[in-house]
Amino acid sequence: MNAQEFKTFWDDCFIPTFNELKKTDNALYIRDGSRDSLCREYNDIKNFVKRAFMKQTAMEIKLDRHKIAACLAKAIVLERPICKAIESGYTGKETEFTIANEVMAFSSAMSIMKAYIEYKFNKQDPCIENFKYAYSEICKHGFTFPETIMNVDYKSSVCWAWHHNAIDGYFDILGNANLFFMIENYSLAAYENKNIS
Amino acid sequence: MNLNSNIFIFIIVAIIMFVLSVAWYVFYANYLKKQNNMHITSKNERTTVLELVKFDPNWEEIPASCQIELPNSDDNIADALPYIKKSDFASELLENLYERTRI
Repeated sequence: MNAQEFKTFWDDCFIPTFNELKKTDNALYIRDGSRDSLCREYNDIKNFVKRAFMKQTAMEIKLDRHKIAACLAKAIVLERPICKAIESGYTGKETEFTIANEVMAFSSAMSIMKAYIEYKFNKQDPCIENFKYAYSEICKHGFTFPETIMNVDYKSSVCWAWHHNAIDGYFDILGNANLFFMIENYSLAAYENKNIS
Repeated sequence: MNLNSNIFIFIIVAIIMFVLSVAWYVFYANYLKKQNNMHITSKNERTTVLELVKFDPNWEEIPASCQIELPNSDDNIADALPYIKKSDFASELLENLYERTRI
């Protein structure tokens, strides 16, 4: 993603989502210079994934939307562009890492995946054809998530897991890309079933 | 004979001490190092995370570890960016997490 493309992502997704988060917690703010550092981190991670995990061929190496979303999520979780004012009782200890960053990472990843799906839906990509109804519902209403037995919803448990991953110092890109793939496929199945019934 | 058995015992003890010191260095020292890292308290959590996570291997010398073809259809983000919008669940999600975790 070049600087101009990243600015589009920043202006159209990151900042509006951050403003939503600020409605819940007014003490949140964005660290100075985090747009550039986040862009660098994302590109480093993406290039690393291409070099380390993808089959090396003569053709240009590409990633799918789930891996791109996972790269972006990792960049946000590691860069931690959202901070919290110290006066609010926040100390900055790693056990108190602002979980708003994990929320932002998950929200941005879902937005990126949805944007790819909308693009493919509008250009009538063949891979969309088989599940046209379900993909149109994703474009309209977003992804659906599995019900959990406990009273912690699925999105919260993903953020909670990432939070502890960050404390332990790791983030699994391929694993999380698979998680995003499963979320997309769960949504397809859920919307298709709704359509049949 | 007595001298030989003393030398033999001495060699055995020396080998055991060597093995124990190597084991201490490999396992326990690393464990301590990790424990220290886990208790860093810094106002700048980003620095802490990067200290924990960052490492810089020479990737040019390491061949790609995955030789199977993984899904690779999309990539060009310029196509998708015109469709990108803000998240419609972020505020609610943060509220849920704050209620449960207070962090």
